[in-house]
Amino acid sequence: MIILMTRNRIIKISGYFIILLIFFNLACATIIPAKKEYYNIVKKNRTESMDFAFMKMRDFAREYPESIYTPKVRFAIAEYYFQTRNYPDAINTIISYIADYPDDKSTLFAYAILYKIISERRGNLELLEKLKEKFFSKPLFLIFSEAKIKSYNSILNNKYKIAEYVEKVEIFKNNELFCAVTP
Amino acid sequence: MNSFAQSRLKKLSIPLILIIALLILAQTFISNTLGKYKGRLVDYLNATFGYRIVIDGISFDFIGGARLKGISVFYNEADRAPIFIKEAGVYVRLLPLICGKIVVGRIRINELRLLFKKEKEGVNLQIIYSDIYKRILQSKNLPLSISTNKVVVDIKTIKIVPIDNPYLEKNMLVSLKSSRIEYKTGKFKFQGTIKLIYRFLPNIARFLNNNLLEQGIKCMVQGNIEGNNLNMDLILLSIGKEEMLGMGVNKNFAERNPYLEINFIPANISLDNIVFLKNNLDAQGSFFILLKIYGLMDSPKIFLNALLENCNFKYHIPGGEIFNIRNLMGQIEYQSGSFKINNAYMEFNDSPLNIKMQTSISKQPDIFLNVSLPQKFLFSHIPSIKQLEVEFKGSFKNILMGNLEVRTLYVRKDLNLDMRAYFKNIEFDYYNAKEKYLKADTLELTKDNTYKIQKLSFTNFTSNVFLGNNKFEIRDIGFLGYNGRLSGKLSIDMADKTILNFGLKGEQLDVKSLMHDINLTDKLLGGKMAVKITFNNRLKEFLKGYCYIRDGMTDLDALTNYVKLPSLKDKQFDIMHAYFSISKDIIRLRGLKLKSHDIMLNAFCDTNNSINGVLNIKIASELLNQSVQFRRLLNLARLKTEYIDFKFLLGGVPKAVRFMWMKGDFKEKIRQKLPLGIKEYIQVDIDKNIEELSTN
Repeated sequence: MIILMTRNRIIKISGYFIILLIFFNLACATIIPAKKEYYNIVKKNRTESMDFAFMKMRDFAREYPESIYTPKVRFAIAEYYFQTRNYPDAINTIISYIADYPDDKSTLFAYAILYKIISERRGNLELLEKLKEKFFSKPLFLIFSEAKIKSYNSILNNKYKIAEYVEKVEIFKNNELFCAVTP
Repeated sequence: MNSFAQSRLKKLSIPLILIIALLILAQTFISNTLGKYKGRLVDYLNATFGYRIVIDGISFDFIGGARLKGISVFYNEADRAPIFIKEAGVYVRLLPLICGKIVVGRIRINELRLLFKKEKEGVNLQIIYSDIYKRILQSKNLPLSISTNKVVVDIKTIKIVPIDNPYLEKNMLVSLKSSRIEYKTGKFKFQGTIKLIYRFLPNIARFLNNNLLEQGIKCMVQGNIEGNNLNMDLILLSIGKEEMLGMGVNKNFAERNPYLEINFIPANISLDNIVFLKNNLDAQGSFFILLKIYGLMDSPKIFLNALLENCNFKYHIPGGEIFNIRNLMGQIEYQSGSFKINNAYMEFNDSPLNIKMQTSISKQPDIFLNVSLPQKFLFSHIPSIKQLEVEFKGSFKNILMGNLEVRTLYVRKDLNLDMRAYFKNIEFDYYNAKEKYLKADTLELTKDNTYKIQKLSFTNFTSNVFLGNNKFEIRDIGFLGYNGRLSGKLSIDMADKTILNFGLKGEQLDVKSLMHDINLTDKLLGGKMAVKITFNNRLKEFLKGYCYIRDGMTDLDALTNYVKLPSLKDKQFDIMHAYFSISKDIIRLRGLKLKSHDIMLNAFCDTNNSINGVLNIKIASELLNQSVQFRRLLNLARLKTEYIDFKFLLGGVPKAVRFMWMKGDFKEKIRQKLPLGIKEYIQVDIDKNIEELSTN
């Protein structure tokens, strides 16, 4: 009787284990190609033309919308539009990007690109004021440094840096001043 | 004269004398006979018309016809006859009379008095008219029928007195002078001069130079009777030199309560012709009027719509001051006892105003009044104020009673500040020549800047209003609230460029309840506040003031949390004060000081959209030593002073202030001694704290 019960329990546990294994494999089947594809894009961008990388990035964003790499990829798509001066698409991509990832590390840099486009093209002033508010939405307490620094490296090999001072915010792209925002 | 002529005259004079004598005899005979049969005539008339008719006397002469004196027609058993004719001459044609038919050719009435009263079925005079008219039609079948197919009625004076309302009976009279009604086989013509006299109620009359309203209008109506309707094909009203043309119909005119409809063609009328406006308000200008009268006769409705164009008025108020109203333009509407002024514009003592008003015509009329400064004027005189309007809803008795709201929309750097002052249950003694007191049970001051609403409530508002030439002042303002008392004054000088001055001073205000309502900060927990605010729209710094709190209590936990200090046990502070000023470009905050045992704070800042300022904090070493981190830092710095100075640079925006710790002895010493990793750790730790505080 005891043997029979133990046997049943083993069968039950091994059943759960098999189900878990199937789920794990399925998850890995999704994660692994996404990771592979992501690094493929990074590599392509370094070795080949940025345009090819852009096409791959678009496919990636379509195929793996839930991947952990997708925010980085979508940011890079917006960046590509910005660098190729396709501002309408850049604005649309950034707006949808900010809506989908409001708290991502790169979101503040997405705001910076949007601010740059609108301020340089003398676009909607009301929107510009709202964007300014985004850079000054939280209090800041600087103790030993004059600025709080955050940085971000994009897939397109751009190094962004944001320096939050008491009176202003400066955004650097590849160590050059990209834009400065004052309240 | 020769003898031939003399003898001829003699021959002629004899028959002439005979004829005259015969006529006198006949006249005396007819007069006596009529006098003798007066009773029968009255009985006949009573029976024919169905109303009690009294005739004081009847006589006859060949010139005036039958003369009837003191004719009274009674509506019911009442003492007063609604129709009274002092003396009437009736011309009845002799030949038809011999044939048993009374044909009235002409009636001359010296004075006709009509007492107008609304009965259940309609107006008493119309009911009598309706009944008599029908009886006359029926009299055709009687042996002595009455015919009025061709008649001319001349009435020297008609007095119409409303007897429904005792005040109107004594103080209102509608009279018609030299009236003539001509009627010939279905067609009629009326002409006369209508004169309206009305004595205003004392509470209104006291505002007027002349308490009598007197207006004469020449009137001519021409038309015909068609079936049951009396068509008025032409109505001509002459007001001075101006004329108004109209037409209408009196449907079922012979019924007890016929339906009346009169429409006038829109006409331009000069205000010079309106005697009341000319005498009392020195009115000049003109208005385009549309007038319609419709409804059952016992309750006709008047619809009046007038467009005023550049009308000027001058009104002398008690005390020798003048209200000068110029370029009044707008629409006036009167309907069913309600009087409206829609979107009018005027220059009141040279200051432009938009006006909306609604009132009812009654003894104690309800009144709605909305006065605002036009945006164009505000833009050039007070650019920061986009809206300034005053609205009153209440009633007009011996004093004005109701609720008053003053609304201001102040815009500075795209920040909308909606400010309202709501006075509930006000009493305004508008008539008092020397001082017009303005009281209110409660006063609510509300400020809404879209982010938050601040609402202050006060009671027992008292003040005195002075209206001068180009000047409006509210002096001796006083009200209670938050266990304290506030006083102040307000003046608007409109002589040249509008100067709006306002001053308010408050003392002994309870900080706890005030902060709860003002919703400015929840960190001030108690104390007694003195405050002073002055406003002058002509000054660069148009709003200035100070705030002074003694023996207060504050919660500085947020501040101590930033730097990981233990909570302050002693929240008491001796003094806290701040001076502030607001100009078009900047808000200045100076001398913001707080003095307590543990913390002393001193700050100043300017804020536009951004903040620029400095904050000095002295924290007691005793308090700092309670924190493990600070104790270590203090040991590192080896500072043994009673208080440690912290100086911060302020930046960012008012909603999220940024602080940067500036150089100081303490910072320099620990900066030199702390390893890099620790510095970073402290910063990360503070960032984490801020993040937590921000999300909370």
